[in-house]
Amino acid sequence: MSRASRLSGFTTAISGDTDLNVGIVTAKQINIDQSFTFTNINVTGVATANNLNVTGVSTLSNVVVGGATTELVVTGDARVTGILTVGTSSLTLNGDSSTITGITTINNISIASSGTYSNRNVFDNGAMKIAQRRTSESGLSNNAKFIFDRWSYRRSGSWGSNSFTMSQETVGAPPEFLFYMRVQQSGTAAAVPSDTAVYVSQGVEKSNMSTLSDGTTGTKECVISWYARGSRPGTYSLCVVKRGDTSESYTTTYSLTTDWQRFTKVIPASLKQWGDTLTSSGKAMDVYFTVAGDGSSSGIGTDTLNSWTGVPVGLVANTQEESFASTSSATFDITGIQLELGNQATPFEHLPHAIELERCRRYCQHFTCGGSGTATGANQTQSAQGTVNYTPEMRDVPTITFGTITSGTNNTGNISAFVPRKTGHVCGAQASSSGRQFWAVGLSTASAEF
Amino acid sequence: MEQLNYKLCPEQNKTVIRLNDYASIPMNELNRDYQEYLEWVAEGNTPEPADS
Repeated sequence: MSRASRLSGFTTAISGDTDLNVGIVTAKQINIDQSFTFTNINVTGVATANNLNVTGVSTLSNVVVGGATTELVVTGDARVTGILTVGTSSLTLNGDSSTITGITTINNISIASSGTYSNRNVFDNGAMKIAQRRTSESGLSNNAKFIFDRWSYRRSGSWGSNSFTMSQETVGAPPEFLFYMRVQQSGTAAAVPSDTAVYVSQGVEKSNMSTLSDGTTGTKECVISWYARGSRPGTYSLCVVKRGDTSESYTTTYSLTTDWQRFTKVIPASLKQWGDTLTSSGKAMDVYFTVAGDGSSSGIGTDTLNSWTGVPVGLVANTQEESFASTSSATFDITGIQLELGNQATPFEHLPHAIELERCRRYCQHFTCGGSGTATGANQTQSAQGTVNYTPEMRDVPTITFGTITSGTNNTGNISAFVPRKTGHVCGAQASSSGRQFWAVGLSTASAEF
Repeated sequence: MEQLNYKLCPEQNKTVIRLNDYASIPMNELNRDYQEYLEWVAEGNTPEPADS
């Protein structure tokens, strides 16, 4: 058959190597194996074509395209008036609600799954930039100590002759970072004593945890990320403790190597709020990165991992690497610690130095001060006073550690703080005798850390 | 472990002095150093009296 103007009424298929040009084809089903060109198509049933060129089509419905490497090519404009789903529900474009969902990465940058895009990090000083007190201290053993701002050396149990050094390091920091924290074994290298652990820890104020809280009902899913490496590879522990009326803990593990890695852990939502019964300046959570620990301890070890547990005694996983304390000069390095809303760890948020410092000053400030007056007798403590104001206001009334009197007259050397407040204090030097008195004190510290 | 020692401050019983570093510690239960002082007292220790 070579040519026809109208064909209808076929009850059997036309097959074989034929050349058919028709004006109108009305069919309930068309199956085409060879090249075929339509100028107008109106198929009310099922149409299947292996090589289909379509021009002048204004409406397609229930169209399935498939079978080739590139399954659909649109060379002109395309408009989808409904919802476009790409992949298996992975990416959805909804023009009706002006939303795009399902994107996790653009140009290799992770996109937040929830929350704002600035000031995402709940932790302060995650990049270990700020160390107002000191940049290194050795002999750390059984007393907690702040070397870095906000990040402290903490311990459980009693460590014998083993001790540790905490320092701010620069050489060998991971890309984009200037600083990292190093914890190094010092003192006598010995096996971890029973029920003992050393942590890198930060406590977070309740007022800064509100973004991770779900109203009055509980907490939201959040994600913690950090960069770490160590000279003693193995399994290390991380524990988040929720403070409040009934404390809860979430312990998990990660595999530390000798190379820098970025680790991420999603902390699931739970029913209790962060610091539910506490005031806004109270400590709503602690995070503990275990450096050395007795994971098999009945007191601090736990085999309950990756779930919230009611009593925060098991801070250390029972698989915790235990060779750190027994290896002379073993090192544990960490920086870029970030805690944020959602389950997608975004790139570490580098804050300007001044902003990071200002955040830290809510918890620790240096000051100098002095005063003058006239004592009417020896040992008076308020005869020559000075005033110190804190900027910004501190988290709570701070502990004040005065430096030494660098100049003055008629002083015993003792200085006291009066009427301490979150906003400042009055201080006075003790007079050694009656008469004119003045004094000036060097670097002093106000600390309202947890 | 460093042995802690404290001394009461004469000013209206609002601060206590930690003699190890002469820190003025406010008597505020939210202050971590005061919490440490309370633990020290609970262990049976007694601070030195304030200067008269």
